[in-house]
Amino acid sequence: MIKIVNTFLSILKMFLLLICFVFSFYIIINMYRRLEKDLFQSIFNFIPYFILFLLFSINFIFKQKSVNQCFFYNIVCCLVFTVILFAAYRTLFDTNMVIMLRLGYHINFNYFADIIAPMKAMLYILCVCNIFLMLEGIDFKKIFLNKK
Amino acid sequence: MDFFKQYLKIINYALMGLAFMFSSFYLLVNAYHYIEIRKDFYAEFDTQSLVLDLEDSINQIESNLSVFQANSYKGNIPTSQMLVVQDNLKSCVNSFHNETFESMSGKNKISIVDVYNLRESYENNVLNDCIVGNLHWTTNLSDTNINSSYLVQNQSMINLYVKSLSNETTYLRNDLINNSSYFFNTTSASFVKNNTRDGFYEVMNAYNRAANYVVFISDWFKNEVEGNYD
Repeated sequence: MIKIVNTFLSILKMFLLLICFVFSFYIIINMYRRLEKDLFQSIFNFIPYFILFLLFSINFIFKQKSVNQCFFYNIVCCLVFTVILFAAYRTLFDTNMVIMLRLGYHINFNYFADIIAPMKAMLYILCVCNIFLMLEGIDFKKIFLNKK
Repeated sequence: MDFFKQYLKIINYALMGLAFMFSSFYLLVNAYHYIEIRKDFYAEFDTQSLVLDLEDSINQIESNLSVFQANSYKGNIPTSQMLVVQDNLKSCVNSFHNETFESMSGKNKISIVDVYNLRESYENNVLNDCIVGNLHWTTNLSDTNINSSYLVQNQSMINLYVKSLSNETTYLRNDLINNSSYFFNTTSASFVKNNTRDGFYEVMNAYNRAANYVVFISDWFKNEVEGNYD
């Protein structure tokens, strides 16, 4: 049962990552364009997404059980992406936040600006955890014995 | 090697716990904030005491203005000037019955956006059009415009009142604009404050205070027409 749940969660987290990236990309690019800032600078906000996508791809390709079958990691990933999606939804559609009416941009940049730093922090933590889980799964004894 | 793996596991789970803590906090605080700013104030707009008071004030202004008849007027102030004052006060009545205020009529649910729109219309229609546009002369009285000893005697009080009206909803504006921030002070303030209801009362109080000022000027106008200051 737990294996099925973990498989489902590990697929779900990949989808959520892609959806989160699309929304964050749309909001952040518009934010930089509004401020007439160099769009290239915005790429630093997406680095954790790229790293995480790369790591998830490696997990899937090499079928790393230590990551894909870690229930707590899968839950935390889904939770983090849910937070980002919820924040993106509110940034685009929550008209009860008055600043949206006041500025008239149809995107609440002020609100999303507050979430960028924790979003990056959480994504980087997920990257580090993924690498640690990968290391845990490697059988170093076997590798050293084969070398000898 | 197992020793190393055990330590790695501890650090890893500590980091995952941190991410779990962060995300849970942000999810809960966002959900709470989302619910908080969606709280509507369920009340019939037309039967609110502050709205009824405002209507009474507007009716009083209209009845005061109806006293003036240019043909039969024999006061100290020239008829042409009295006609201008009458026009100014009529414009003020129209400013109070602005589009936003009229659109609220018949509503039985007031949202935070309604409060914001009412505040904007207070600033644009009541403050800018009425108090500044039409009644600005009351703050700068001299023999060349309206030579009224009653108003000149009350000049300092009038100036103070107009000044207070201009800052009446500044706090509310800042409060409303800051409602997109979910920091701790906002959430703890919500235990003792309902932003929608209190904001509505605040903006309607501002309307009433401005209306009282227009009533004060219209009372003077009526007394001037009836010759009570001679």
